[in-house]
Amino acid sequence: MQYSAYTNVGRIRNQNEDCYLAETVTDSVSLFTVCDGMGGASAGETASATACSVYHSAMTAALKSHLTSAHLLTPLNAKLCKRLLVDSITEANEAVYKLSKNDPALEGMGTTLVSVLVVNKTAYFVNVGDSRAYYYKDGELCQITKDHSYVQYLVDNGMIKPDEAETHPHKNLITRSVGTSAEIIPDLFALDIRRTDSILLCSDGLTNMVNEGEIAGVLGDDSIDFSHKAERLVAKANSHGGTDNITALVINTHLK
Amino acid sequence: MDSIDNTKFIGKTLDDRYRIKSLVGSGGMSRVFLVDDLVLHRELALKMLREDISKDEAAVRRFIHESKAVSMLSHPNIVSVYDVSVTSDVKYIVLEYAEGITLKEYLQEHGPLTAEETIHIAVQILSGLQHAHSRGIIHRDIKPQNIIIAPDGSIKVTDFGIAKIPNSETITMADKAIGSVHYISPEQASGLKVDLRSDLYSLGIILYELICNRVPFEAENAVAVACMQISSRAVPPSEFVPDVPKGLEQIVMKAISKRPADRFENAAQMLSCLERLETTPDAVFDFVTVNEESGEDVIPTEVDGKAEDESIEMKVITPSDTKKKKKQRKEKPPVEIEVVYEKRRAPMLPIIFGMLCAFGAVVLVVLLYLLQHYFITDPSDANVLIVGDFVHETYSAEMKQELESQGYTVTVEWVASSDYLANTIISQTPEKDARRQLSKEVPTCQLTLIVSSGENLVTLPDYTGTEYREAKLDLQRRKIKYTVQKIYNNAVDEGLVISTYPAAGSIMGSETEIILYVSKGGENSYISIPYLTGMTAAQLKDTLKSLDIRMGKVSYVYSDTVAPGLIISQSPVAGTTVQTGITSVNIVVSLGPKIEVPDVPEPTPDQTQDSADTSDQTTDDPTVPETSDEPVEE
Repeated sequence: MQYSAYTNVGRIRNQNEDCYLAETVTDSVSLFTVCDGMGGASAGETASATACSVYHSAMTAALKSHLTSAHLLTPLNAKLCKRLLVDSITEANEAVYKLSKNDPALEGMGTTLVSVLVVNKTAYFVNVGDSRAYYYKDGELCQITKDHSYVQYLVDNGMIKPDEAETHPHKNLITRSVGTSAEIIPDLFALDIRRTDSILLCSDGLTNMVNEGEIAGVLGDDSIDFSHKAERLVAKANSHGGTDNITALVINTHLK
Repeated sequence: MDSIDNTKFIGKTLDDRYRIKSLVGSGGMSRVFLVDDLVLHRELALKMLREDISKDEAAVRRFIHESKAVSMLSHPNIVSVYDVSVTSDVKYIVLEYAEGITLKEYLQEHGPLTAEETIHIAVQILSGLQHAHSRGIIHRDIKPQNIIIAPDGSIKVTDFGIAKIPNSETITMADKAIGSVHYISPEQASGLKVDLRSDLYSLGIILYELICNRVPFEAENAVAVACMQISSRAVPPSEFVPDVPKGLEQIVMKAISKRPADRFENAAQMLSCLERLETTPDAVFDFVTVNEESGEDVIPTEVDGKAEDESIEMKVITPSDTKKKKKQRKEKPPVEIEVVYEKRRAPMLPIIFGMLCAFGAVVLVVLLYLLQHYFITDPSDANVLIVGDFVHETYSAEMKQELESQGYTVTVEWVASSDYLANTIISQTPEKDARRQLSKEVPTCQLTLIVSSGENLVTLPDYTGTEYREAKLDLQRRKIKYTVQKIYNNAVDEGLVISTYPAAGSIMGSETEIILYVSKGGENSYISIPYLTGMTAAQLKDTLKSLDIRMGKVSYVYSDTVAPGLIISQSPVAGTTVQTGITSVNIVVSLGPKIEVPDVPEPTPDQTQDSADTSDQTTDDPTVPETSDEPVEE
């Protein structure tokens, strides 16, 4: 599956605690993930890298076993994919959580995780945290996942208005993350990609700097080579300030 | 600081009446002492506000106001307030001294409690609450630490609304200094107004804890717990304690309903249900809760606990074919994407169907809106054109044709903009809703649209290796904004451009500010100066040369302790980190001991021979180094 991915430390931070992975399992099955780590010193980096790799290992192992063994009997349907996603993110959560408990320097570390598993014409998303998945079609960027952030809670409950969330002092508090607690409850979504042009996974370093209209602009601009789209998005975020680590992963779902 | 503050009061008498005997407890807001009331000859508790709190005028006023109100309360299940004193030095309240342990401690020792005990405790707390509520006082901080169990088993509620933080209704989420979030109501967690039902919620949480020996909402940090109060559904007590009486479970779950309207209206209601259970333990209630059946929660709820398949719903998303009319300023997720976790066995099909219907309704509304805006003009006056709203619309040839068919003559001005996507209409003249009279002489309305041509794009030239001043000039000529960062680079000469960000050849928006990385030349290294003292000149020369440190000033002094020719001291001192190549070291070299030449006494006729023989002292000290007049070579 054609994709374009780019991550950058941004213009203010010293380290890049974002992490992404893209993996093509077979012609019709691919897995993409973005993680945004948090924690003291460089614990965030450890958290996001660990979560990403454990999650991907678990997923690919499970996918491969389901694809090689009599796959006609256990097709990769929604129910199975859902279970794989939940199990894998649970495993990632346990790995990060355990690490954080064993090393005082890593205490409290955690990471967001947003991932999409593309199986033929369906995309399955799993999300914990405030990194996002969007789909893009015809000039319109639509957010798929829901932020697990404190401000989102306030918005949901009518305490503040959506635009107030932008400048809220507690904007960076997230309410769910991978690795900060023994249990994890992810959100799951399914999407038919036949009617989309592309999918975007990104950390909040992108969406905090670039508004959705601009992102849609880059995604819809045919003069930008697809393989440069992620880089363009990151460059835009930097040109608007780049106050956080930025990661963008664009997947081309457009039918030729 | 704490222990000093505490002990300074022991033995003192406040207001000539309360003699402080000992410290009983200490909290974030105040300290509690055991005192003797010298007037009424009884033991009381004295709660003194901490100094930093007592400086806050608003807090103090609240404190006085609330203390007065609470002092009116008189109930066997409420710790009585007898006196309040506010002076510039100290602020305190005098309370009934309630002997016993807190419910928290009791639970730690005896938890979980039986249904009977739980009801017994609940009834007493409610009795006290009912009394307070009837006098308009809300506790706001009901928690096991504020419930005292006397040795005889009677229950008293303490700490009514007194000595709270200034903004006790709003809780700062990021502060760890919030009191226990485990018992606060959703409205308290959200910063909304609190009423007597908040107290009932907190009591409900306590009852839950008494029965299950755990609180319903627990998480790694205060924020998460607060959010759970707002939106997590509690696991019913029967999951933990299978034989909990159904009626009791019902009461507890009703008490901790998210919406105040779903809870008991007042303490009396809850009390009567509990009393029913006391007489008929098997009683089951018929509470109608709005949440359970409809799944139409405004507040998204999630089931706390295991992440099993059945409890996590996968949301199916349908991309729309119709372009939405308004350009979305900020995310407004389409109707379908609402994270509503439904009951465990809810089937998928009705959900998809329901969503498709909702989606269809949205499409319909959008279509109607479109119709209304584009085609409907004022029916009463067919010659008047009401100008539509085209700002933020996407301009296209089709649109132009449509507009012309509506009676406009369209003129477009293209303007480069990095804020608006290409083809977006930025502004229009005339403004929307303006009325234009059309007639034979003036058959059309002149409409001017300012449309964005998108961001101007430029290709960044390759400045690698060029003189950075030249690069700056070129960038200025091209009107590209830049900043310069000078960094060390061993490969690129000083003053030349190393690279740019974004990279050379990148296509970027014309408004982008690029970074020019300019070389400062090879980076100097830093070393720590070694001990040079005691070295000879030759050793020194070699050492400094190998370290690339220069020789600075050399001075010579006499020394009784250091042999001549050796180095006495250095500056900078050994261990100082200096930059190689440019730093110099000053040294002081020893001339050896100063030899005083005594006055040669006039030789006496007797001694002349001897003294001439033995005197071989000269002012010419043979140990002064030959090269003392020349500076040591670098």
